[in-house]
Order: sequence, then structure tokens, then C-alpha cells
Amino acid sequence: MIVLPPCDVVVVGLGAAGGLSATLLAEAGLSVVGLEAGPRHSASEFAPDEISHESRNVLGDAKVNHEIPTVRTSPGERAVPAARTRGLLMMNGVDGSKVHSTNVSWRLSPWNFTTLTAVRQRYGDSAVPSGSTLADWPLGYGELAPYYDTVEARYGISGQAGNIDGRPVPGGNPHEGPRGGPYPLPPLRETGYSRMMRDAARGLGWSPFPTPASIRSQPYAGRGACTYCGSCTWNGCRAGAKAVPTLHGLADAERSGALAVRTGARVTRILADASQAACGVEFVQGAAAYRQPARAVVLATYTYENVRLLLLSASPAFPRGLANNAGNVGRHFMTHSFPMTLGVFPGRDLRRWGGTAAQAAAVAEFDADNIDHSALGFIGGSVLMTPAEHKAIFTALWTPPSVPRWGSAWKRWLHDNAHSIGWVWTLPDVLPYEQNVLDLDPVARDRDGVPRIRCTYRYFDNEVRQTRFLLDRAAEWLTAAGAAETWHLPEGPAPVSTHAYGGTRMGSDPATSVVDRWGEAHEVPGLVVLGASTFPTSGGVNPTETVEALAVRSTQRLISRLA
Amino acid sequence: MSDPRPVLDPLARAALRAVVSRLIPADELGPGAAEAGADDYIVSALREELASYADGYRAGLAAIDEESLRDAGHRFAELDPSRQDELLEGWADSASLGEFVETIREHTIEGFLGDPVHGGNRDRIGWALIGYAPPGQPFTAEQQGTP
Repeated sequence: MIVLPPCDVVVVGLGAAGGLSATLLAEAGLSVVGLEAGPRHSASEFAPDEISHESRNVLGDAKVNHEIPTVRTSPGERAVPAARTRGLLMMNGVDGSKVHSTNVSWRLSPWNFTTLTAVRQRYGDSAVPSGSTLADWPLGYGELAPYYDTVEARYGISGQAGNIDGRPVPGGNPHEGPRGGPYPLPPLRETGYSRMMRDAARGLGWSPFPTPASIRSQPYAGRGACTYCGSCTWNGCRAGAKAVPTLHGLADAERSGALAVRTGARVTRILADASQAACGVEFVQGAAAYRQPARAVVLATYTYENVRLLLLSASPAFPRGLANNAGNVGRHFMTHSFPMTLGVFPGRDLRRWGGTAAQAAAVAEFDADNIDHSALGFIGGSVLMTPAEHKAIFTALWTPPSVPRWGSAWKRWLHDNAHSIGWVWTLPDVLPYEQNVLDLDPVARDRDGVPRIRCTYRYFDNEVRQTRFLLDRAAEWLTAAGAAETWHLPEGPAPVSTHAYGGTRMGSDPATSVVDRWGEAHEVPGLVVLGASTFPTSGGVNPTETVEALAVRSTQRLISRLA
Repeated sequence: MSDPRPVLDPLARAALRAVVSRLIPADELGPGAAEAGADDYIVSALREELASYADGYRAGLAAIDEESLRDAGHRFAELDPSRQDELLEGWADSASLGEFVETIREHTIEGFLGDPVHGGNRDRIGWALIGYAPPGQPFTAEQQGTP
């Protein structure tokens, strides 16, 4: 074990959360070591290629592809390796999965922060499903809003404001929480399909608006704009138009000497001192093992790995895993499953090849508690979005059930209709449940012999009903736009997902949560956990901007404590 | 280091080609998966990125031939196309072969519609069939339907 010179903060994982945090810490003058399991990717690896990216996730080859969690639906079963993870895996590298994400960039609805209280007030105590461990966040939208503003300004988020300081703004999301000002950049370009769906939404009495994105619609801060090349989701950006930490301060922080990045560095253990405060990490890089002492540790990998590293860092003071003496690590696990409704518009060329999936009209009528749920049989919801970036293999895999799945009739259908398919995707909110948890699989191990994460996870009635409701709204939208036939992708839960939540819940009570309202572990001072693993609720939108806003907030607090 | 031994023996190789030929057949709309090299794509991928599927392919293709011999008196590749289609339809819904047929279907689609750099989609046959505009170059507003 090689013991390295101590630093102020060691950051584990340099993705959307850790890359941003490491940059801010270094900008504040602290000495920072950033440990990233993946490499530094370059644009030469970003060839537009659906097999390499969607089917095989080559950008995840450094680590994540070899540690896919096992899954089971209830505690009595033996877990099996997750199957069919096409398009559901994160990647590894500096900037993390923000490299290959579509980078849709939402704020959560204010309701998502107070769901438990709001549901009880509006619908009564019995509206919260039994078995659910639903909780309010320990902070409200208003406390996080300035940090959303900071992230949007730093990265040049593209979008159309709908609510500035409480004043409605035409053309934006009428249901969004108040923001401090307009988006720095206008929305991504409309497409013929997004316009068609926008008009159809208006015809239904809904209020469509452009999907916000962490992709520059115009040059910003010396960085380039989107070229709408058609290989955005699951691929890196060859135009450098996605807002990733490297392009927004991380490279400068390295040049300043304040941030030292080690790639190919896999953290194996987080260390606590005799006072049970975080004091560094152990990691492996190549054939060598290292110890990096530090005054504070920022754990910013991903939901599954945040949980796994804590559980793997057991010690005499923490026999069940670091920060887990109260037994909360791994609990309250939730994911988005990305159900979609597709529609065919015979004889119409929708021109959906190309572009980015973030070029989408969206509606928020059915997100959060924006409609009355009294008679719906579920709580929560999601936005609906109408993306571009239709791809060839995807099209062929998901033909409608009314068509044979192969053979000449299938081929004929594809020939006639492949350019006439539209779809709507949605991110059904899920509740946390007592039964849905992450832990270490007692049998399955990854390529390095480390236990894999095991997901015990299923949908309950709330999620089944909500998903069905949202897919029906999506079908209604496509039909209103002229679709002759609509169909759904299989709509079950996805325990392995790029939108995974919980496991290190944020809360005020150390008996029921892992980290406090600043992201610091209740039981381990100096250990700050970043990422959606801290979210008490999932929300019905993409999580990254909230992850980033929380990262800024937690990091500023850490800076003030270490100063 | 590449193993010089074939990943599939000649009988399995013939069965695979016959299966992909029925999943995406050559017909009045033009060439199919075999003509696009989808089976070559699969064999080459089984040696590299899809190596974890190789045992499943060997077992699955052997089972296909066994069931063909039992039910139709010949190996799968020796049957006429309509008989092959009947057998495939039955297997697609079966507990024994359903998952394997779905795996071949998925990989055949990759070999028909994926980037030609992987060895399938020869002469961009698949993309031509569906009128696909492959990504990589900027798309203009007009190309996206908003002139």
C-alpha cells in the first residue's frame, strides 16, 4: 500500500456530481485529488455507431459493464444477473455519464420536495400506499432554486422559462417552480415532429414547451453549439456542445495545480479515523494499491456504487458498512424505467432521423400533482416528451405487436413505415417501499472479485397504475397528432437504470436517513455523498440538474467548513 | 489473441445462416439479412464483444437442428423456407427456444441495420430498406422538417 501525501478533499468519481464538486473545491483554493475509475475519453471514441453505444455501451467498458447488479423481485428469491440492459447503463470516465447522456436538464417540481405532506393534506393519510416509505425532503424547492440558477448559468442550459420569480412566462412550463431569470440560452431547435406534437398538445388543451437541455443551442462561454448530428444519446459529443465539467472549469482547475486527477483509479474502501470522521480512501490503479489521506471525502460515483462502497467499507466501528450503524444504507431504492408509447403516421415522413433526443416538445400536465389525483388511484406522475434522434436498430426492434416480429411482413412494414414513426417517452415517478432495497449479492461478483450490488425491486399498484395512465396520455397525444396506431414498449420496472435513486437517503433524522440536508453522513463527519442516491423521492423528470444543484450546495458548505 | 478455431462448427454455421435468412428474408423488397452479412456479423461478434453468448449459440443452434430432425426429418438448413418459418414460429413462443430465438433476432437486426464497420449491413442494404439517414453529419433544420 503506497501512502500518498494528504490533500484537503478526495473526490470519488468525476461525473456530473463529482466533476463539478472537484472543480468548485479547487476553485476555492483547496487541494483536491479526483479519482476516476474510467479513462479520459476523446472525440475519436465518439463515432456514431448504434451497435457500439446502445447495444454494447463501449464507454462503460472500464468498469460498469462488468459489475451489472443482480436483480430479484422479493426477498425470498435468488437474484439473477440483470438481462436486457440495452440503453440502461452508465459509463465511466472523466465527466461521467454526462458524456453520453441526452442531457435533458430539468428542475424537480416544488411538489417533489414535500410529497408526503402534500399528499396527506390534499388526499388524506390513506392516499399514501401502505408499505411505502415516502418522506419529504429535508429542504424545499426554494432552498435549492438558487443552486439550480447557478448550474444553469455555469453550463449554459438551453430552454424556455415558464416562471420567473412567480410571474408566468408564455411558452414555458406553466407548472415549473419560480426561477431567478430566463435560461442562459434559447431552447434547442424545434423539429417538424416537435412542432406537430406541440400543436397537437395545444389542441388537447395542454401547455407544451421546449424540453430544457444541458446542450448548448448557441455558443456559450467560448464553447460550441449543437450540430444536431443524430448521435447524441449514449454517445459523446463531437461538437463539444454538451455541458460537461471538463469544458466548464475542471480542465482549468487541473492546470492551476489545485486539482490532481487520477484516471483508471478504482476506489476500494473509504476510511474513517478513530473519531469516526472520514479521513481518506484506498484505491487501486494498475497493479498498485494506494492510500489517499484527506480531510474530507466526497463520494460521487452513482447510486449503485455509492451504496456498494459504503457497504464494502465496514470496520469495527461500522460493522454493517460505513455510515450504516442505523441500517439505512441501501434502503428506499427507486428507478425510472423509461416506458414509451410509439405511433405510426402512415405516408408521412416525420424526419426524425438525426438531431438529439433532447429536441422535444414536452408537457407537464401529468407530472407531480399538477392534476387532481382523487379519482386516479395513484399519486405522482411525469412529464411527457417527444424526441428526435430516431435510430435504425431501435426502430426495427420495436415494431407494433399487430405486425409479425420477423419475416417478409415485418420487413414490408419497416420499409413502408420506418420514417413515419413518432414516440413519446415518460419517466413515471416511483415511490420508495420498505421492500425495495440494495445490498451486496452474497454470491455474484464482478470482474475484480468484488461482490455485486443486488437489487430487490418491484412495482406496486401505484407504479403500475401511474405508468398505464401516462402511457395512455402519450397514446392520446400521438393519436391527436394523427397517429393511425399506437403501441407501448414493455412497461415493467427496470431495477438497473440510468435513473436510479435512493440508497443513501437525505433526511434530518439519523435514525431514518444516511446523510443530512447538506449531503454529509450523519454518522461520519467529513463524508459527503453526492448523486441521486440521496434523493428521498424520484420525481418524474431527468435527475441530472438536481444532482448538480445539490452538488453545488453541498460543496459550498464543505468549502466553508474546511476554510 | 484470436483463437484460430471456428466459433461455430460448419453445421451450426449453416443453421445460423438459415435462421437469419428467415428472420429477414430476401424477397420482392430486396436482399435480406444473409445478403447483408448478418450471420458473418454474428460469428465475428461471438469471437469478440459477444463472446459471452457463444456457448448459448452453440447450444441453441444444436437444439434447433435436433428439433428440426425430430419434427421434420432434416436439419434446419435443409428444410424449405415455409417449413422453416413454421418451426421458427413455434420456437419463438416456446419455453425452450423462445429466448434464444429472441437473441438471434436482436443480433440479426444489429447485423442488418448496424454500422457496416461491424461487418454487417453490407452495402448499407438495411439502411436503404428503411430509408435511414445515418448520423454523424450535421442535420439542417430542413432535414429535420422545419424549413
